[in-house]
Amino acid sequence: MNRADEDEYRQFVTTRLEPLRVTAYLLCRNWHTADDLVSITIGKLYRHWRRVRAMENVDAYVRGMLTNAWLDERRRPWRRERSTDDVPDRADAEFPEAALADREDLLVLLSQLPPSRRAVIVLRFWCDFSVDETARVLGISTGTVKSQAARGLESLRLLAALDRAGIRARNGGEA
Amino acid sequence: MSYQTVFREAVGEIPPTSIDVEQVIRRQRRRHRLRRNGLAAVVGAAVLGVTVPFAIAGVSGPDLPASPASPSSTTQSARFPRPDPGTTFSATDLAVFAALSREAPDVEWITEDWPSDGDLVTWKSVGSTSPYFGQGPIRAGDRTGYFSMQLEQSWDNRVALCIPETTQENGCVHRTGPAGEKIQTSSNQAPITASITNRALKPRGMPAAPTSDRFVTSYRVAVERPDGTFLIVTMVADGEEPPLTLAQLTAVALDPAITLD
Repeated sequence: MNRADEDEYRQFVTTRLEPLRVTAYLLCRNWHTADDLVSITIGKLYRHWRRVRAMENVDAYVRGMLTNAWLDERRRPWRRERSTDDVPDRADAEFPEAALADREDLLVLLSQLPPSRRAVIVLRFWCDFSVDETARVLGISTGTVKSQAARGLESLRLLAALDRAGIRARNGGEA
Repeated sequence: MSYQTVFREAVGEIPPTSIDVEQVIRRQRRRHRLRRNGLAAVVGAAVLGVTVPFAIAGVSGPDLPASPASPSSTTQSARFPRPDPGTTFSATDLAVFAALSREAPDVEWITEDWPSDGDLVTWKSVGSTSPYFGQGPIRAGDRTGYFSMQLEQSWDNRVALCIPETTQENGCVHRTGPAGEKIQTSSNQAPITASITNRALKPRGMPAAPTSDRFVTSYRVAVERPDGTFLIVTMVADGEEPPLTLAQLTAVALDPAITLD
């Protein structure tokens, strides 16, 4: 890569670092892993910068790279689910600050969705991708994107309702 | 409320990053060089495979080129960066240089052989109207690092660098400047490398173990001026002592002379 290309790459990456990290965090819910994913993505981007920069929507392509990097990482053996003695982190719904509990709840609920559905939700509603862009990035049909997005949102509502019912039961019928 | 707003609020505070873009670039350059050299070695071996049998048979083959001498690695620096041939610096560029020179008189701009693989690097900026982005390597004595500045009018992508109540250990401070500016500062020191495998196998909540004893130190200052102009100034150094202190970086960011054309 020549110097001008590299400067252009550097500027692109530096200004997009935070949005990319947030996207990665919404996918994996761990800032360490999010930084790893972004590092992997911008490394690949460097190698293919000349080709990528000529694309119509570079931002969409890079977020697609990031999402696919996450899906690839999840398939690796050390990323698979493991049994543990510790109870997984859960949002404390009785946290005194309702807003903080709510936002933590959303991340917990999001992390309970299957990976492909979570990727669709993040790309469609955080990255604001169109159905077509989401389908192209994930290599699936537009019909699948629509159904995954609808089911994802429905799952979030259902999980939220179950959580609220559980809280009511714990509180003796009062929410 | 849009979905994006809901997600942004759900994410909350964004912690300082351990990603060093310059190191990613260096790693990729090295990878490219190794691949290129590997290819050259394969071609060389193939050439030898052809020429040696000819030589053994008494037929003279072409002379092999002598190995080039290793390039010397001497870092040069200057009080001011130099513009690309045929170009001039913008008023914003010059204001940035003047602010740095005033706040950190010992800082010089690295003009050659940085980051040590022969590339000429000087101050590069894009646009003198919104958005403006400039970056370049600097040194103070033997401390080197990368300085960058972003400047935008009414920036939609502004983010909270940190929340002081929860990230005191990262030097996170929010305060008001002398002219009513909203100032956010944060500093972070992170191991340069910690492999994905190493991190993944760590129990939840445990810090990742560094795979080297080297650290990258980063300082970030975000300033929102009363007129809506937004600046982010960063200093990233490979080591524990960047060439600029956080106070010097903040003073540069608060310089009212740095404006968009």
